[in-house]
Amino acid sequence: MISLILVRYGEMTLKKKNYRQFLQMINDNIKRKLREFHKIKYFNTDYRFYIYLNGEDYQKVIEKLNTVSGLSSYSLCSETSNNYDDIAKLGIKLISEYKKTERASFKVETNRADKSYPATSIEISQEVARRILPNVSGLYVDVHNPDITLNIDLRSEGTYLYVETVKGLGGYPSGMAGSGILMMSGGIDSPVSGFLALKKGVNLKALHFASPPYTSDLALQKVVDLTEVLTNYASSGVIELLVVPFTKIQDSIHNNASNIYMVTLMRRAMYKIASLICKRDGIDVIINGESIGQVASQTLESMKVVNEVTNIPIIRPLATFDKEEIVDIARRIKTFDISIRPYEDCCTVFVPEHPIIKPNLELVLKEEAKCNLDDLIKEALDNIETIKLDSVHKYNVFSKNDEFDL
Amino acid sequence: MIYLDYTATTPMDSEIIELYARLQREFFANSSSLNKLGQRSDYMISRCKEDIFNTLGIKNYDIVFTSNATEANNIAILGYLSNYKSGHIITTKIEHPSVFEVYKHLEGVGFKVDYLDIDENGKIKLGELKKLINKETLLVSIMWVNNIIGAVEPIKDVIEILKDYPKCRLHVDGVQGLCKVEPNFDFNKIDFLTLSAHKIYGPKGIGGLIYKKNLEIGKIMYGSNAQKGLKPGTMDVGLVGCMCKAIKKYYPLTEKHYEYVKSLQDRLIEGLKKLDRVHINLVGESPYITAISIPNINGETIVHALEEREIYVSTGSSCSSKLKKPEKTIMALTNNESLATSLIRISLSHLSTVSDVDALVCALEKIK
Repeated sequence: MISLILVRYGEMTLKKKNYRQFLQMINDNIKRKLREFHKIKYFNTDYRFYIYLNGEDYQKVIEKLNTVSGLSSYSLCSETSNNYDDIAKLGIKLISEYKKTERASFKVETNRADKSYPATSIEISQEVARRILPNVSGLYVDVHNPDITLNIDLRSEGTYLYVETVKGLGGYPSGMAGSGILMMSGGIDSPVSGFLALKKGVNLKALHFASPPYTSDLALQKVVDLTEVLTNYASSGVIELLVVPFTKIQDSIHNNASNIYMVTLMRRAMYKIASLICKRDGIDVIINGESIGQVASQTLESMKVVNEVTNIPIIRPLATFDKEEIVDIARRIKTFDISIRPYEDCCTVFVPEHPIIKPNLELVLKEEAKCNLDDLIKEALDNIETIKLDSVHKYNVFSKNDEFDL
Repeated sequence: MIYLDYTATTPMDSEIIELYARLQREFFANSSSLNKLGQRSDYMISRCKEDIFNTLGIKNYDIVFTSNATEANNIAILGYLSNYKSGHIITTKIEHPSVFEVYKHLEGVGFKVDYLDIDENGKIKLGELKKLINKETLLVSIMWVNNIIGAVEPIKDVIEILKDYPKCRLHVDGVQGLCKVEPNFDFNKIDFLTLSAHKIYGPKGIGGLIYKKNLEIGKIMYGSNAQKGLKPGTMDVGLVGCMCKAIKKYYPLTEKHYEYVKSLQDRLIEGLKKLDRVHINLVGESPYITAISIPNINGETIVHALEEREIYVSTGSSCSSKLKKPEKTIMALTNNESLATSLIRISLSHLSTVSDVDALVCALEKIK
């Protein structure tokens, strides 16, 4: 029976100076995420965080812990009494369950946190190993490079054993790295990008461009649902989604500029708006889901021409990822099924058959000048709708009344 | 009127009837249409799915809404096995025809089928399952609650046994269990779960198959891509909403209704025991169903005699009542043809009353 989860902190152990602050942040994040488990008790040292389950389901707890960035790994510990025979008995069970090959090497590692225990760590390890060895077939000792390590954690509250260590989410504690605005189209890439940024401790706001009536309420719902998935990884459990009315800008570009520049000009307008929001709201960076060469607007040449509108850093977590790698993450974080819903987004309406893949800045500026975008951008900024999304409540763009409640 | 045939079907809850009218008015648009009205319908359906999963505590599953549970069972079995030309499959001797007959059909086209026996309590023999199942077994279909005798099958133990056979999928016909018997197993451990709305005070014309995401289910009908092509055709948002409502309303009441119906059944059994001619086939764990026989009198005769007193019961599964053959579940349970042809099924509900039960016992006593 798993009764304790031992949690190890991640990369932040490298950050010497701010360590205390990070520790506080991550411990708060863990506690906030596990609030629903009433029976849980906590205890932490400088390098480890202990969760006493007191009967809570460990799988559900791990599921929640996997949304906390900054955790490197967990060990699932079973409890026994502190006499050698009992420890060995549980050890045999754990090793037998874990052992996958006919022959396997092992060692016993003891952490004697309870200093009143009348034997040294090494003595305890030896005594326990001696009792286990003849009782598991194919087992032999290798203290340098064992296949299986049985860990004994002797604490005054109890004696805990584990063999298995599972990987955590990794990254930095949420909120540690400053803030970013995530460009959210509704596709597969942007939520994955947002997830990676959250994992690295970036506080997020999401930005979506809606072009009703070309894009539907359901396209917006899709972005809402995607953002709601991301809120699971935010320490506060909240992400604000800013919805920019983009129709007029899109119409103006469509009516005034050459068709092949449609996408380039739209994206320039979007980044202008994003950077204005960053300045207004004190956000540090823009984050997007671009991956080099994936579509016409994501060639390096296109990025250059689009990037020209802002001096705010644009972080592209997926720049060098293959589609397959991105899809893998999307499936894992459960955004994939939402992303593949078939609604049009503003980037897919009016798209020319052959958009320009190596746009020339001079020509782009000339086309842009025809579109009277500055006023329209200002108007769009003034009419942004802010939707506060969280990991508990489902937001429904269709109806602010209750017609869908059964 | 005294209605005691709730296992065959239940009257619709009046709140659900009203919901149906509202949904037909407000969500008539085709959920496959890309226009806003259609998308609202589509969204409503996805909300219903979510509500159903949340109510049942199910994660990472999908549901296909069907016209009834029979269709859901067919899609589960034929759809899943369409990936295979032959193979070993296991079911029980007491399944509903919509499972049993599908297995019979598969037996005829090259699948090796084993039919599990039941013990004196109407439960499948787990030892037999352990003996028959092997690494090549593809599918096991076992009902949650039997519709004739009310036996609750040991699904939890079956799940345990199947753990050692990762290739094998588990299909559970949950029609008589849902909202009636508290599940002692985790729905998330089942690959296919069949549900029906009209057994739980919802409308007829809708059932559902809940299945694990990422399972390959082949098509057994052809048409549009609606519902991933598994059940092509225009969906009725009204029916979907009502099924969802029925589950949301009645699932949380399972235990409360169970306790009440159990007390009614206790009273019924007590009354029946005083009648010499009545043989109680089984007091199954589900108090909703009580199967009795009056040897040497045809079941149908009793049904009609009670009907004259405005008491409505049935002769076993309404789905096979016109077959006039000895009832297969009672045969499996008793191996007694006389009992199996004189079967009467009395089925209760939280809507039943003490006086309903007393009137039935009184009427049975008077029938000559």
